Amino acid sequence: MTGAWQRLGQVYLVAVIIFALGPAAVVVFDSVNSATSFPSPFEQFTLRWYAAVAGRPELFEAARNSLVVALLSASVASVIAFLAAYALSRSTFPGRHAVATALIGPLFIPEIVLGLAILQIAGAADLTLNLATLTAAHTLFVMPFALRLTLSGFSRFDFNLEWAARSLGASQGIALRRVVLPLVRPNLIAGFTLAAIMSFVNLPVSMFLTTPTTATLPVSVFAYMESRIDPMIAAVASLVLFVAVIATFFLDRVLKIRIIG
Amino acid sequence: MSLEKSLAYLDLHRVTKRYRGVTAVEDLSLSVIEGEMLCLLGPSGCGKTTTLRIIAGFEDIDAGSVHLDKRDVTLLAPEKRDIGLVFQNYALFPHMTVHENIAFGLEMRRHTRSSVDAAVKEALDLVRLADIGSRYPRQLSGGQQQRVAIARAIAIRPRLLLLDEPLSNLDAKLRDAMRDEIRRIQREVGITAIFVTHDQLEALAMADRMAVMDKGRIVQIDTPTQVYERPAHPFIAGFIGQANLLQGHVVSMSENVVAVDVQGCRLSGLSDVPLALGQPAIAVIKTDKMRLSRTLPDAAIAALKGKIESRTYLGPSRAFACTTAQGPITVVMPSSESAEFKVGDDVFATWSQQECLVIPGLS
Repeated sequence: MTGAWQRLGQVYLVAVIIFALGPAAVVVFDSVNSATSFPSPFEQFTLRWYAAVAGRPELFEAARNSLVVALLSASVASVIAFLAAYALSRSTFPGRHAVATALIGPLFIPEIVLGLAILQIAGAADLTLNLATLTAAHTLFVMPFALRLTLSGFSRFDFNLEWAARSLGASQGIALRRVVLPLVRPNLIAGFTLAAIMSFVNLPVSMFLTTPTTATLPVSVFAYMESRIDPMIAAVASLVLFVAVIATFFLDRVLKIRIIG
Repeated sequence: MSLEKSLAYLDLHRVTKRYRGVTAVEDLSLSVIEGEMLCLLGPSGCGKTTTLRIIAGFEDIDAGSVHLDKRDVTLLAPEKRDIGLVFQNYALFPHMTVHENIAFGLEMRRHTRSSVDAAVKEALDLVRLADIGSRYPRQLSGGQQQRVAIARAIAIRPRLLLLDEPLSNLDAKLRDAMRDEIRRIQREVGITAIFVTHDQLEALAMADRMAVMDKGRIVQIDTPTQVYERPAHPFIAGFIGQANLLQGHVVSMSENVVAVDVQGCRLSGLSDVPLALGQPAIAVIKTDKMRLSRTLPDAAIAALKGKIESRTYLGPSRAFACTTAQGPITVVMPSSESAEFKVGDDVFATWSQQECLVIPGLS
């Protein structure tokens, strides 16, 4: 009986994994398929779609923009999230739950609404749309993700540790850096990573706030797909996937930073 | 005499602390003598831990002042006070080894590497824990963590050592050993120390002097013997030791012998504080100073007539809960003398007059 349930559990697990990773496998499959339409049955292994990507410098430019915006916005968001989570967890002022909710709130605003709103504000304030304004907008929208994960790191934090550091002669700043920060670092890194990913893959916010020279990768891919759909896009998606896998592996195994599990 | 000269080593002067309208510490004054071990004793919520945090500099106060070693530290940040603190949960830095934990305070004081190492070793030797410097706190037992916490607090050679419920997280056997250990360390270093506890036995056993706190105030501060033998307040009489409190009013006084009328029964006892005729007063008799008797003893011995309601065997002694016309009382007698008394028996509870203490009552 137990054996049957166990077997059923294994089948379920495999099904979930296929369901979760299947789409990515399809994209990789299409990127090495010689068929010119997309999607179609497998014909022959080819790398010509990857070669086609190499001939499109604007995609690399867009990828660079995406990376810069993702890293910058996730960095700024993480600093804000750390300070906010520290303050919200440490103090007991009335209304701190309301403040936390207000800061997490943008998570529930549809990104397309947020993008439109920011565009209007940028227009009203006569701001130029460049990478700086795009980074600012991304910071705004990824901050709740970073805050959510950082707050959970503080949920059972023992603030006596900070007081212990203070009584031993550390100023508040040093206590923060030497004691508080190292202990919530795993959550900060998880928050930073999630924020960076959310920024990197974002289309709705970027769509409103990019110009041809500041296009991000999702915007460029989207623009390309509006004109035609060919397997080169699958190659672009696969490249992003490979980079993500390598980066995760590097963080996990080399820097020993646990993002997964 | 100038204010500075009249100050004790640690001096809290009329300190008040409120948390959004709720008073945690009220108009509290406290003088601690250099080199002594003072205990703040009281039930939870009495303000003892808040007082400790005020001394450590973790809490801003609403009124009053704090002086340490002739210096006004009222507004001084905790890191500038030179006070070592041992937290109830030890608060060892989990991401640092034992050595790094103890070295932390010394590094903050910009000691050189070699002097830090020497001081860490000295501190570990003091708490009798050599060779564990490279371990992490999670790899230590509760008792070892406690010792490391003490070593970390003492390594910085603080002016004052504070201990918050130092024994509460240890099991009973370890507690007695650690109690002696903390006293040994305190005497060896010759440091002035204050510890907070809700455990009266801990306070009686460890303190040179104890301050009993209730509702944000100190209600009595004296040696453990004096507080135990001569509680100055009904709260302490009820809190310290096991005592029967019989509420009445003063009917006569001569020298320091006071008679109290309790529900028509006249009880005589000793009093240290001035009382007035007719004033509410409480006759305090420790439960283990009372005896049960079947017959009314001679007139020189005080007695209350009552009936045994319950009997509890405690090993070396038995506790009897009795009802009397003057209210419920508890009598604790050695087991060897009390086997004959059963639930439902009519008995007399007796005591000698000098075992009865009369203190001002609550009006």
